[in-house]
Amino acid sequence: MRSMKKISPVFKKNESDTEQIKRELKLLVRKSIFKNNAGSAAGRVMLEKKSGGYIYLYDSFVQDRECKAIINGIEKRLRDFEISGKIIKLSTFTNPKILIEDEVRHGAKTVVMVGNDETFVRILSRAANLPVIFGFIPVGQRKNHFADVLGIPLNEKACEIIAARKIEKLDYATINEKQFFICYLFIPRARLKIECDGSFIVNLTQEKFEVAVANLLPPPFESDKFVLHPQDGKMEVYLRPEGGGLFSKLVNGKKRQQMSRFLFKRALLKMDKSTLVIADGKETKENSILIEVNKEKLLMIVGKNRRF
Amino acid sequence: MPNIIANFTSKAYLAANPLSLFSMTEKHLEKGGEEAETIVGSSVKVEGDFVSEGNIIILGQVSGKLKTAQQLRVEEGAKVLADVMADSAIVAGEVRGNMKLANTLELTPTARVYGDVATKTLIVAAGAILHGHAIMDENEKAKGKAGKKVEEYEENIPGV
Repeated sequence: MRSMKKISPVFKKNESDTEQIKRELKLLVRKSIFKNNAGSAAGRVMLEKKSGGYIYLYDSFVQDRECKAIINGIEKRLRDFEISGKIIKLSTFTNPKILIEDEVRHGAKTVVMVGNDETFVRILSRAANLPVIFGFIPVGQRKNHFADVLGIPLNEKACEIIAARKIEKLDYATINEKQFFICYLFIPRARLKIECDGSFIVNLTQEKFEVAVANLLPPPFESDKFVLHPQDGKMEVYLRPEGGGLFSKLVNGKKRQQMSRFLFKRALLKMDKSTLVIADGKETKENSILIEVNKEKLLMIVGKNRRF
Repeated sequence: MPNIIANFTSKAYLAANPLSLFSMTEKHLEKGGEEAETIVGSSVKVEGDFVSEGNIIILGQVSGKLKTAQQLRVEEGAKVLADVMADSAIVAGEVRGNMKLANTLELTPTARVYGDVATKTLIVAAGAILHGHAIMDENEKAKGKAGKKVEEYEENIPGV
C-alpha cells in the first residue's frame, strides 16, 4: 500500500474517492435495510450497535406528503451526525410501550420521538418508565410547545440537540396507578379536597375552583407568573377560585382572588362528583385522582435553551 | 388517535386561558427572584401538619402545625390557628398559637397574635396586638431551625 502511494500520487485521490464511495454505499445499505425493515437479525443488531442503539418513532402525520421535505432534511442531518437508526412508523393502534420494550430487548438505548406535542405525550404517557433515554424531534410549526420548554428547535435543527446528547432527569408522576403524567393536569371547575403527602388537607369545598397540576407546562391561568420546576422531585398544584374575571368584575364588582399553590409528592384529589379531568391532553371523568411522583426520573435529551 | 384525545389543546383547557399554551414567552418562564413556595389563598382552608422548605404566604386559614425553613407571611384577613416555626415572619393577620422564629418577627399595625413568641428580633408596629410572653434571645437562631418540635420550644419558655 505504501509503495503504491509512493508510485502514484494520483492514487491518493482515487483512494479517498473509493473510501467515500464505500461510506456512501454503507449508508445506502443501512438506509434500505432500515426503511424496508427487512434486514437479518444479525445485521440489525450490528447496525444498531454502530448507531448507538437509536430508534426513531415517526408519528403517523409525519408520513404525510407535506412533511416529506422536513423528514428528508432530518434524515440527512442524522446521517451527517452518524446517529441514524431504525425508523418505526407509528400507526393509530400501535402501543408505544410494547414496541419500545421489544426494541430495548434488541439493544435500543435511545428512543427519539418524531412528531409534535401529541406524539410526545402519547408515547411518554405509556412508556416513561422504560430504561431508555428519550429524545424528541419536533416536526412542523404547530403544536410544538414542549419543544420550546425542552429547548429543542423545530425540524432538522433538532438533530444537533440529539447529537449533542445533553441528558437531564425530569420528574414524572403516575395518575391513578395506570397512566404516566409528564406535562400538566387540569380540572376546569370542581369542589374538592386535596390530601397532600398524607400530612395536610386542603379544603376547597366552599366554592368551585380551577385546578392545575404543572410539571412541564405552566397552568392555564396567570401563566406569566410561573417558573417551571420539572426536576425538583415534586409536583405543583395551583388552585384558583372561579369568577373574578372581567365579566364578574364589571357586573358583580367581584375581584379575582389570590391563587393558591402547594407542592407535593403524593396527592389525592377527591371531587364532590364526577368531574372532567384533562391529563396530558387525555380527557376523562373522575371522582378522585391519585397523583404520585415517581422515584425514577425520565431521562430526556434537552437543549441548552431549555426553560428550566 | 383513539386513546389520546387528538385535540391536545382541548377546548376546556383553552377556555380557561386561550393564550396559555400559545404564549410560552420568555417572560412567564423567566426565573424570577425570591418566590413563595406555598401560597394559601383567601378561600382556602388547610388542616394538618404543614411543613415547607420555602417561603409561605397565607391569605386564608391554616390550622394544625406550621413549619418552614424560610419566611412566613400572614396577610391581613388571614387566620392561623397553629403553632408556628419559621426562620422569620411578617404578620398582618391573626395568629392563635405559639410562634418561634430563628430571626425576625414583624407585627404590622393590623397584626393580632394570641400566643407566646420567641424570636431574635421583634418589630412591633403601632396598633399591633400581642397577647402572650415575648422572649428575645440572641441564640434563638441556633435553636429555631425548622423541623424542631414545638414542644421543645414550650419547654424553654419560662412559665409554660
